[in-house]
This record gives sequence, structure tokens and C-alpha cells, in this order.
Amino acid sequence: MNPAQELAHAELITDVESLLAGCHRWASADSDWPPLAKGKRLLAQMLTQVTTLRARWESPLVVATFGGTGVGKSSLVNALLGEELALSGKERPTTRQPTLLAHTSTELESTGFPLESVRVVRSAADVLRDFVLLDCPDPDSDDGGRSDSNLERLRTLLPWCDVLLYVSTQQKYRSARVVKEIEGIRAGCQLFFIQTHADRDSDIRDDWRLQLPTELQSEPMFLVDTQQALDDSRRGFAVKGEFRRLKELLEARLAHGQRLRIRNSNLLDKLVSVTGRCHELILAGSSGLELLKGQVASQQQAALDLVIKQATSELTGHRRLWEQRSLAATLDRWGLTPFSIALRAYFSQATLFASWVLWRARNPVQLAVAGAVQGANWLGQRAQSRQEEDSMGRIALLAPPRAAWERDRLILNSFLREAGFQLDLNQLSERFRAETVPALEQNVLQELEQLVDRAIERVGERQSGFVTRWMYEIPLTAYLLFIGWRVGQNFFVDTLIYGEPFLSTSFYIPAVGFLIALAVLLVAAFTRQLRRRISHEALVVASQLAQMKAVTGWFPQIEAMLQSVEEDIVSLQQLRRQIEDARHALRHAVSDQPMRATVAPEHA
Amino acid sequence: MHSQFHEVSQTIGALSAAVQDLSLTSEVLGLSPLVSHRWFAVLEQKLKPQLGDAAFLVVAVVGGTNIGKSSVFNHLAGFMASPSTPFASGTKHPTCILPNGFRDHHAMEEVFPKFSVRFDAAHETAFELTDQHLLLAREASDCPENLVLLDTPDIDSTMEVNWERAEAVRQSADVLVAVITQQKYNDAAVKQFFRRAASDRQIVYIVVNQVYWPDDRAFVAKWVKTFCEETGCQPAAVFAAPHDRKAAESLTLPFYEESWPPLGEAADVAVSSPQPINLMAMLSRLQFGPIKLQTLRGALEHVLDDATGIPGYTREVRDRSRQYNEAFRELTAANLVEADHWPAPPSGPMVVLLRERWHELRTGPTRWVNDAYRQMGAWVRQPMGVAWNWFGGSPAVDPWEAYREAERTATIRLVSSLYKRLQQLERLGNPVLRQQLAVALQGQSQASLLARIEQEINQADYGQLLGAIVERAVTRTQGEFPGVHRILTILDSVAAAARPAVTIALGFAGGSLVPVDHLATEVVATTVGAAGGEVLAGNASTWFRWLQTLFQGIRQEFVASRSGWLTDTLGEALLSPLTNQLQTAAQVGDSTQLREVERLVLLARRVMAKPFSKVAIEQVGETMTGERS
Repeated sequence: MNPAQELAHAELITDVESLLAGCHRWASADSDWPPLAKGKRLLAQMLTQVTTLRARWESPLVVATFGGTGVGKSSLVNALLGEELALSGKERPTTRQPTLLAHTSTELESTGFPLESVRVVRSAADVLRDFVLLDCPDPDSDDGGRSDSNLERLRTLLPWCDVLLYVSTQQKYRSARVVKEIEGIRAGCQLFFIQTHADRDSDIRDDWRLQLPTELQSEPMFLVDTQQALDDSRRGFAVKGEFRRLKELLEARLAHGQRLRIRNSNLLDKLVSVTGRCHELILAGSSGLELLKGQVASQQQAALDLVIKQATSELTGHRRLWEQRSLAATLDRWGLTPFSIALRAYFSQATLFASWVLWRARNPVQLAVAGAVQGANWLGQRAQSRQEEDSMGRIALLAPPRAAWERDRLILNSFLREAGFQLDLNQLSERFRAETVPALEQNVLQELEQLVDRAIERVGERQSGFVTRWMYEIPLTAYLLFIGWRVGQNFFVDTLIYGEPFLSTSFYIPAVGFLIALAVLLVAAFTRQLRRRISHEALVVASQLAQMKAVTGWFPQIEAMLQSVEEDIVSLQQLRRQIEDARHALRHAVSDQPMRATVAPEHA
Repeated sequence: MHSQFHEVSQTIGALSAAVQDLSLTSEVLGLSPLVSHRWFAVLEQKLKPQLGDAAFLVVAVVGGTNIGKSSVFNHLAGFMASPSTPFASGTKHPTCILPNGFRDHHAMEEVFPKFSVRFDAAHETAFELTDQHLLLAREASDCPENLVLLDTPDIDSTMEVNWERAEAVRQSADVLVAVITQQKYNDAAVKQFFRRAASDRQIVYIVVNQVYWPDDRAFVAKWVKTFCEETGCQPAAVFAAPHDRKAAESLTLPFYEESWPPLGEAADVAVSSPQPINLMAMLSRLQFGPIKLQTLRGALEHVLDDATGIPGYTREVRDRSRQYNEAFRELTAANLVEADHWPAPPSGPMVVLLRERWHELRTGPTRWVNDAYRQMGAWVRQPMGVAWNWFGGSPAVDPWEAYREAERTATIRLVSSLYKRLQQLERLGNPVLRQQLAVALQGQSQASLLARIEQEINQADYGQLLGAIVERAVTRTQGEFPGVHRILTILDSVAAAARPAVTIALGFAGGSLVPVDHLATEVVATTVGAAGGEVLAGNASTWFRWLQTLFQGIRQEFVASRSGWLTDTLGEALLSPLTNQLQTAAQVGDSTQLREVERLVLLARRVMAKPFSKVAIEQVGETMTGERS
């Protein structure tokens, strides 16, 4: 290997390692959703196989024969070696114990291969320098299930195989069992297609090709006569024809320098197939998940609607609090005038009343209307002394109504079941119902406080407008001026100049009486106007509140679960993209030793 | 004629009809369909078509894909009856050779009920890729009398529809010509097929094809031995044919008979017959009568077998029906809605309504006095209400709203416990019911049922309902306790008479404000007194029984009416489709159709138990080979 190649190798290894780490992270986090959980188990299982694979990254490739009983797997091995080392025979199945053929110089122990389950045969054949040959039992002579069946023996060995020589004959190339078995394992193995019995059978390679999945149809296929090849080798002749091409291609593709590339390519293929399977599982389960999501969303909206409805009725139902704050806002703008003094007088009794109401205020909406500062103070006080009662009192308003909550729980439970989740909402207690409030409430109340503040500002502004002010100020001021003039005239003119007597109580009592009556009348009128404005504003606030988007419902654990499922799905898609990219890069990497030798199939 | 044979034939015909009848009746049980039962295939494809008076023998060539079945078949037929191709699973539809005139005596669609028969179709039709099961038939003059010869699709390729067709042909066959090769004699798929043949007691001839001649001939006996051990087949004869493509194509392939069972170690290796034999001639030598009887008897045994035949099926029907019956009782017996758990109506509105009703019953001066005081009470109440309103008092709460909410909660609890019960029922696992239950238990259907209930609760007019109940209750207690009623009326009249007097007296004694005090009683009684019937009950403790009847009666009637509403709604929307289905299914166990099938099974068993007389056997043989002999 030259330095550039070594660097490329190192880079390849790091890339694959980081991909594997990503896969491992994804697979190791549990999921509540069965399709995902199953997918993760699949991937985790595959990754444990990968761990053993990485331990033998650079060990010789394992090239295994695969095919129905009697197609000549052992004969092919013998022909490749040029000597009869694998047992071939006429009685089916001939090969029960798999045979591992390795070069005398190949060190097998470090490869981690399960040597106890195979018969190891050493040979000095040149062909074994770069890889070991594994002569496998067949998948079609028994039904599997028992540990001593050929199918099970085959299945335990297949994960170790890097390359499969798929051997078949005219009789067997469409055998359902063989085809089914190869379907399950072909991802993650390099495949070579070999039709044997060239001496007697017809060439069925074109038809065979048509039976293969599209991506394999362009692979070269060989029609060989293994007996002839073995005889040639034994006699010391060079092997000829298709068999020679097969041997050359094997030697080219499976050369020492290609090991890492082949193993990585196999690994990526496996990852593609497993993550693809995960994707299929997700797709298969997605309809239930979508239904659940829709239901959760509509539940969230319904929960919000209910809170808004309750808040709205609270908003319009507690005029006194509104009034008090609006008056305060108005007076802030008004300055010191006769009418404002009258209003302040009324306001002070209103404050008294409001503070009484505040003590009775049991829910956050009332507090929001009463004002954030006051509300916070009040809460602080109350929290210390009567925490328990406080929380119970708050719950009374915004906690989900029991019936609606139980109904949604029932419905969501069945949607959960349909989507495959194990979570049983029926186990959620009443306590939980009470505790779901804060999130939802916080959401609404923050919004509500701002809306109320702004609404009160608006009311204050409009109630202290120029026209409104003078409408109320003029009559009161005029009356006060009149009284002032009357008293002044009496004092300065009438008594001093004309010597008339001072105004008696019979003037002052009615005058004060009239003043109070006028003030009360004006304040009442003002309050009426204020109230109209307030109820209008309360409705505006309610409608603004109604436009809020639902962000959380009564069952946060479902939302959290759906969220994590969603995240898992997204990160799986990312992984799949990364794997595809890596595979693409590996396939198209410029290399001085092409991965796929361009040997065109020669048709007989 | 041969009455015994005829009797079996008639019983089987009746049995087949009765089974079809039963399957229609028991469709509601959701059992696996008849066609999934092997005995049904045997009944329909073998017994029914072949028990007719004009008997015939069916010989089928069977085996794995691409091992020369068609070639063997063509050798049997003596001409290129079935096309062959070098590619696997080429033959997709069976080909059939019939003796001349066969179709004049037999309706082909009855003989091969699974296939649509095409006469003299082009060879390529056998390769056609269609979902329809075709049978390509042609008549041949040199075909032995009453012998039907079939070539079948494969039993092991990726074309699984081929397996199905081969299996159908096998089921109607009496004699199988099993073609095996050294590559396939020990294949799991092939062995599975022949295990079924062995268990159906079919006569099997083995042809070991494509033997590398002469090297491998010595192995033939070993292969066949393994094959027989694995499948349980006991071949009537074994033949071997060399691997010779040219000879196969020109129909000159030699078939050598192997001695079977092997004569011993030495004989294994020795070639049994040096001369090839004519397969068709061998088939002509078959003893049609005994074979036919053996296979029919085997088929009959299969159909009547306690575990795998019709009795197993009827048992399944009966068991399933009983399960449905249990489910039906489970669902209908228990009270769906227990009135105990239903919320009681609020006392406030009840007391108000009782007062109203009592007032309506007042007559004469008592009524005038009370009317007058009510009016005055209203006059006082109104400004008080206005003032309350002005100072921002909380609005009055409708007592029924709390009740509505309580009813919602009660409803949800009942519905969810009902759903829980349905889930348990679903787990019991009746496929049909499970399907329906699955629909009923779907989130969507639960949501819509609950929405409907919610809507009906929202629209419920409790006041009207309670008013009507109160009216009835008062009338009833009036009838039941006339004494109490009379005393109450008198007391009421006295009170009415005393009221103005008290007012006037108080007026004289204490000044103008005093009547207000008196009026306050009225106001409080009307508005706040609604808070409890307890006050009334305390005052009238002597009339405990009367009160009991009145109040308990009203409460009970109200609760019964509301819980009855829920029962009706649930019954109509959720349960009645289920229970109807359950009831229908529960009745299958007692149906005449089931009893008829069971009767016919017993009858058929009795008929079969009698050994077939020698005469009968000969007669069958005669009808089959009569013209030839």
C-alpha cells in the first residue's frame, strides 16, 4: 500500500466508525413505540455482529458456497483448489458438517471464526492465499428448526461470510427455499453466480438473471463444469473457459488489498438493509401514529378552548376588578381636578371592595385582571400561609373538568393502543389530573396578563380623552365655580358692602347635598361608560386569547412520547442518508485497484 | 347394480351438500373457510367426482421443477402431449390426457372442480401466467379406457401458485408417478408433498430421472430408500431413466424397472431389469378396481377422520358456537348501567318545584294570599338583585350545571368500564366478533360515541324532566297519603289566613318597616331555601314516611330515567349490532344443518365399516376396464 492509499484507508475507517457510533446511539436509546423498538433491536443485533467483524477487519475474507443440495458446491470448492478436499458425493445431503479450507500459512485462531463448528482442512493451494473457503451445507434438504439440521448450521455460519459463491443448476435455480434463504442474507455479502453441470444441463443463466432483484441482474454469471476443471488441474493443465474466468475474477476481486473495501462495503450494505427495514416498520405503523397525533392535537386544542372559555367567563364576570384597575389607569392620566377628586373618593371605596374580592380571588384569571404586581404580592403572601388551599383553589378553575379529562383519557387510550403504545392512561390518577394544570395555565396566563394590561391601558387612555374629560369636568367645575362665586359674592360683596348676613347652613347643607348628588351622578355616569368600555375590552381580550395556538394538552407524557418518537424517526432518516452517502462514496472512490473487475460474462 | 358402492356415493353426495349448507349457516362464526380444510378438498375433488357409477382412474405425474416431469408424461402418453422447456417452473397449468369419448360420459368441471378445462388448447397455454387455474385436456386414442393421465406444475419453485395447482391435482389422483432426481430426492419441499400423498394412501410409482448412466445407477436404490424413509411412501414400483436429453426430446428415453423392495445388498448393485419397459403398458396392467377402492377408502377415512375430517370441523363449529353463546350471555346478563352509581338530582330545584307544584294545587283564599305575598316578595327581590348586580356580586349559579357535570363523570366511568369489558371479550378471540369489537373499540368510534353522549347530556332538559316527575309524585302521594295531604292543606290555609293578620298586627306594633321582615321570609324561602330539603324534612319529621315516599320516589324515578337513557343509547349505538351477531352465532350449535352433517357422518361411517364385497370390487373393476377385457 502506498501512503495515499493508507491515508484513504484510515479515512474510510474513521468515517465508518463514526457512522457506527451514530447507529449505536440510535439503537441503544429505548423507544416506547413498538415499530421503533423493534427496529432498534434489529439494528442493535446487527451491530453486535459488526463488533466481531471489526475485530477481524484485516483477516482473510471468508468465501462460502451457497446453494441447494446436490448442485455441486463441494465439487466447485475442489475444482477451485485443484484437489479433492471437500467431500462431494451422490447421496443428499452430502455435506452436513461445513468444511473450512485454509492455506497452510493462514492463521485462523485470531479471526474469531467459530472453528468448533467446522472441519478445518489445510491446503497449500495458491488460491487460498487471499481468502479462506467455506463449504457450507444446503438450505433446502430439511425444514430447519433443530440445531442439527443443515439449515440451522448454515444460518450460524452465514454472518461470518464476506463473499458467497451462489451455486445452482438447471433443476434448482428456482427452488423456493433457496431463493427465500438468499433473500434474507444477500445484503452484506458479495455474490458470485455460478451454474454448474455445464456438461449436461442447458444454459439457464438468462432466465436465472430475470429471477434476481434488479440490482443484481448485471452481475456476471458463470456456467462451469467443475469435474472438467478438477480433472484439468489434477493433470497439471491450466483450467479453461468459464471456470478460468471465474477463478481470475475471484482472485482479482478478493485480493488482499480489497479486504477492507469489501468488508466496509458489506457492512454498509447491511446497514442500508437494516435501516431500510426500520424505515419499513415505521411506515407500516405510521397510520396509527398519525391518528394518535391528530387526536392529541385536537385534544390540545380542545383543552385550550376550554381554558379560554373558562378564562373568558372569568374575564367578563369580574367587572369590579377591571373597574378598579381601569380607574387607576385613568386617574394616572387625569391629574388633580374636581372630578378626579370625586373619582378618587369612589376609587378608594372601590379599592376597599376590590381588596375584599381579591381575598376571595381563587383563580389566576382574577389575579391577572387584578394586576400582575398585586397578584404576585398576593400570591407570595398566600403561598407562605396557605399553600395547600391555594393550589386546590387554583385547580378549581383551570384544571381539566373531571368528566372531560376522563373522556379524553379513554379516547386517547384507545388511540394509543391502536398505534401500538403500551402506555395505559387509565393508571393516571386524579392527582395527576390536578398536576397537569401548571403548564397549560402558565401558557395561557402569561398571554392573558399582557392582554389584560394592554386592554386596561386602552380603557385608561380612552376614558381620559379630551372630550370625556371635559364632559365630566365642566358640570362639576361649573357647579363648584357657581358655589365659589356665590360664597365669594356673599362674603366680599354682600356682607362687606351691603351688610347682608352671612350665608347660613340652610344654604350650605343643600349646596353640599347638591354637590354630592352631582358628583355621584357624574361618577355613576362615568362608571357606566367605563363598564361598557370594559365589557367590550374583555371580549376583545377573550377573542385575542382564543387565537392562541395549542402547545400543550392534558396529557404531557403522550406529547413527550410522540416528541421522542418524532425525533427518533428524524434521526433515523439522517442516519440512512449518511449511510447512503458513505456507500456511494465507497463505490465511486477513485482507486488504482477497481473494486469491481470489469469482466464481462461470456455466454457459452 | 353394485348397491354398496352406490350407497357410499349417495351418502357422500348428501354429505357434501350438507357441509356446504352448514358452512353458509356458520359463516357468522368466522371459522376458516371450507377450502382451507384438506378433507374438503378430498371430498370435493376426489370423492364427489369419482364416486359416480362410471368410475375412472386418475394418474398424475408429480415432482419438483425442471426435473423432466413433462418428459416422463410425454413418454407415458406416447406423443408430445405436454411441452417442455429448459427453464424452470415453465409448466404452470396441468395438462391432461383422456381416453377417447371420456368427456361424453363425464362433466369435466365436476371431475376437476378447481380448474377451468380447456380442450385442445395450444401448447403454450400451459406456460401462461394467469390467476385462473386452467386444465389443458386432450383426448388420445391409445390412452387406456377410463384412465386419466395428468402432467402437473412443480411443487417447489418460487411460483407458489404452481404448488397449489399440483396439490389440487394430487388430491384427485389415485396413482402418482413421482419423478425424482439425484438433486431433488431429499429436498424438503418435495418430501413435504409426498408425505401428504403417503398419508392419503395414494399409490406411488417412483421414476428416478436424469440418472448419470451407468455410473450412478447403483445409487438409485439408496436414493429411493432415503426418499421412502423420509416421506413414508411405499412405492408400487421403481423405475430409473438415464440422463439423456436427446432421447428425452425424441421420446425414446428407456425406463428400467428397479426391483423394489431391494432384494438385498448384492441385488442393490445388480441391475434388476436389463431391458427397458413401456411405462404405459405398466399402467394398463394396473388393477383398476382394487386401486380405486383403496384410494377411495383412504379418502373416505380422511374425510370421516375424527380429528382431521368432518367430525373435527363439526366439533369446531359446536365449540365456537358455544363460545359465542357464553359471550352473548356475558354481555347481556350483566347490568350495563347500575343506577346505584348514578348521581342524585340536586335538592334545590326539587324543593322549588315541589313548592311550585304545591302552590298550583292551592285554591281559593289560600291561593290569593300566597299569590299576593309572592308578588310582594318579587317586588322586593328585584331591586335587591339590581343592587347586587351593580356592586359586582357573582352571578347566580345554575344548580343543574353541577349535576350535568356529575352526569358526565358518571357516564364516562360507565362507558369506560363497558369498554373494558368489551376488551376482555375481544381477548377471548372470536374472529368475527373480534373484528366487530375492534371496530367498536377503535379510538375513532369511541370518540364519536362519546361525542354523541356528551351532546345529549348538554341538551338534556333536567328541569322539565324533574317537573314532570314531581307532578306525578305529588299526585301519587296525594292518593297514597290522603290524610297527610288533608292536614297539610288545612295547615297551609291556616297559615295563609294567619299571614295578613300577623302582618297587620306587626304593622300596628312596630311601624312601617316590619312587613319587610315578613317579606324577607318569602324571599329567603324562594331563593336560598332551595339549599336543602333537609329544612323541610326536619320540620316534618313526623311525616317521615310520606317524605320518604315523596323525595326518595322522585330521586329514584329521576335516576332511573337518566340511567335508562344511557342504557338505551349504549344499547342502540354500541351493543345491539354485537349482541344480534352473537345471538345468531350462538344458535348455530343447535341448527338442523349441523345435526344433519353429524347424522350423515355417522351414516357414512356405518356404510364404510362394512367390508366391500368381492363382487363390488370386481364390479368397479369391470366398469373401468370392462371394454378392454
